[in-house]
Amino acid sequence: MHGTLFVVWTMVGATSLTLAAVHGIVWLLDRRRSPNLAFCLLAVAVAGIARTEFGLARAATVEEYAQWLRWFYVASFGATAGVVLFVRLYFGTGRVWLGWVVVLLRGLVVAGNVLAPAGSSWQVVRLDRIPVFGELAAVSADAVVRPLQWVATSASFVFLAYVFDATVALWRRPERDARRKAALVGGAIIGTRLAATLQAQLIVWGIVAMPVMVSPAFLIMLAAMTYELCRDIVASAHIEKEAHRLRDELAHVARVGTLGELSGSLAHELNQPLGAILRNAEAAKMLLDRHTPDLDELRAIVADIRADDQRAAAIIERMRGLLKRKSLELHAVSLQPLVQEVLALVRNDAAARRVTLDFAMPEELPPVAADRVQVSQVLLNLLVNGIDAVSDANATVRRVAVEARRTGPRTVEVTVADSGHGISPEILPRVFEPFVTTKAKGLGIGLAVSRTIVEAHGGRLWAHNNDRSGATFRFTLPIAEPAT
Amino acid sequence: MSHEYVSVVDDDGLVLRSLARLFEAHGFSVRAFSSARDFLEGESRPGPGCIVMDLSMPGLNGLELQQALTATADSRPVIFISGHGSVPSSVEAMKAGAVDFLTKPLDEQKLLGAVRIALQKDRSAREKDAERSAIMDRLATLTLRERQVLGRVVAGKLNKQIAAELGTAEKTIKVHRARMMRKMAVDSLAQLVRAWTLSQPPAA
Repeated sequence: MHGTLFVVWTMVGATSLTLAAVHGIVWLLDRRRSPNLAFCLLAVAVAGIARTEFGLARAATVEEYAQWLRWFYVASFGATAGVVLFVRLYFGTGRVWLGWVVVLLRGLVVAGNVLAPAGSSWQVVRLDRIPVFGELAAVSADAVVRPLQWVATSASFVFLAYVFDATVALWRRPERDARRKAALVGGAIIGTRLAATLQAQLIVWGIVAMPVMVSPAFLIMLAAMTYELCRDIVASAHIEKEAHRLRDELAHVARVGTLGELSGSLAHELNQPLGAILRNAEAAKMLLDRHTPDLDELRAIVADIRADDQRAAAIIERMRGLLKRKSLELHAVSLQPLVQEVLALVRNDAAARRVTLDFAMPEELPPVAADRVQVSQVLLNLLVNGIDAVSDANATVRRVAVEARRTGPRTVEVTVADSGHGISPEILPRVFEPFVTTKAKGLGIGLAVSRTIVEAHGGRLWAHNNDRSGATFRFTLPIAEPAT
Repeated sequence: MSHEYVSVVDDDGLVLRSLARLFEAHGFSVRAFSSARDFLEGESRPGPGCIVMDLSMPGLNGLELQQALTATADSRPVIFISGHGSVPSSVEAMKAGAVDFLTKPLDEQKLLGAVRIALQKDRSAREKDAERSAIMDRLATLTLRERQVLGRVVAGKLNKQIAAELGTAEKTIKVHRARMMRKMAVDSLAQLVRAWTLSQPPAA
């Protein structure tokens, strides 16, 4: 027949183990979260304390009591070491040597009680049974206190000093959440420890006859720690989301900038069909003024006006697509039309600067998992850079070549090679750093943003100089999973 | 004289057709070519007219085509159209003898005006050419002695001086001179000098 005590300790144990499991999983999923691992170990130790406390209360004989006491020392060593570790990893403050002193002193107590005959620090010689929550629990009625007990007690004080010191240091830190964390977690640890130490003294010195019941207090400490750890997880999820948003935003800004650089040639491209429409309309008007208008010619004119209009609309659509503000979305994208569209955007600029654009890719290249707009942006950026490089170099061979090919079972590589002056050796290692630029008007974010985009796709972007002339930029993209 | 044409060269099919239509609607005869190569092949025996071409075309671009024309002694006036009139290329084009350099978006009236001026220029150049070749023909009919007399007359020498230089009588020179003037189809010394100047190769 189990009573309230059983229920309390079982609940404490189960809660601790549940928390331990949750934070253990968090650590497994993200190994950088070492405080969660420390918490996991600590929570397991608290469950151990709860179990041994139950054993102590149910001990029938002095020998059995001593046996459970041994395990109690082991569990509370785990809890102490766990807290020391947690404070160190989570607060990042405090004196490490103090922490080691605590671990060493508690280690001595454990060693003394586990290796030596039972009761090396505190030996119960007579048990009593008193009613607690309506059932009888074993309590110490008479005990001998040995010198090792002083080690345990001083360990508690060193522990309090260690935590207090670390908490104060955290409190003084400038981070926004430092004070709340220090007050909540540091306060909970110190409070719990004070309660546990006080209870231990009362029992050890036989001042109050009561069963060992420190684990419920530990639960409060675990709750405070869990609260802060969860807050951190939520906050970092926010930060990650914010980082994604900023990346998309920056990509958009860079895209607008690149299109701005191309605006002259894009305006020209738009003027082609618009001018053609105007001339066709003018010709049609003059044809209509004649006595016998040539209807076939008029039909041909109207058909051309239609085609011109569609062409203008397509140019605007292409630009609009790139100017749109949207977050990264991966779809199966066929590279052939994507490259063609980007080439269409720079074709005029290239022609004006007498740069030939080449494009080669095998027909059977599978679609890649990519965000159409952002990959277009990377390609656009590399092409604009390549055209600039060729143009600046005043080279006789004036070409920028785009190639795409499969380089692995799951990888497609796209290269943009120019016949310009190449990248100077001092710039080459830093070309992907933000604000590194060789252009008079450039902001120097194009390549940095491009690399971020490619990496967000799970690919790589890198550059090298060619053997003969110019530079080559290469990036990889993952092949899309076949549609299911 | 054979019929004059406006030859249009632009790689953009829709632009090319609209230009051709505009010129035709304004009464010009048009030949349209979608590349420099087509143009060079299609107009191996150029007649009178002018050329309207896009500056930036794949393959042979406008400036290179202009150089090719100069090399083949095709003297038709060239009007360049360009979407992005960069200063160096327009300077280069004008130096090489382009009549005009128009940037897109094209102003119709300017374009038509430029074509009219170009055709006018071509016509007068051809008239001058025709006149020069007529004079050359006449010069070819002169005897050696008549040519010697002509050279000295246009140099401003008197019959007496010419007679002394050539070692004959002044009377004989007078006869040569009258025959030379008749063969050259001129009535005055002024006309003779003009014809002589025209026949000389233009100063480099």
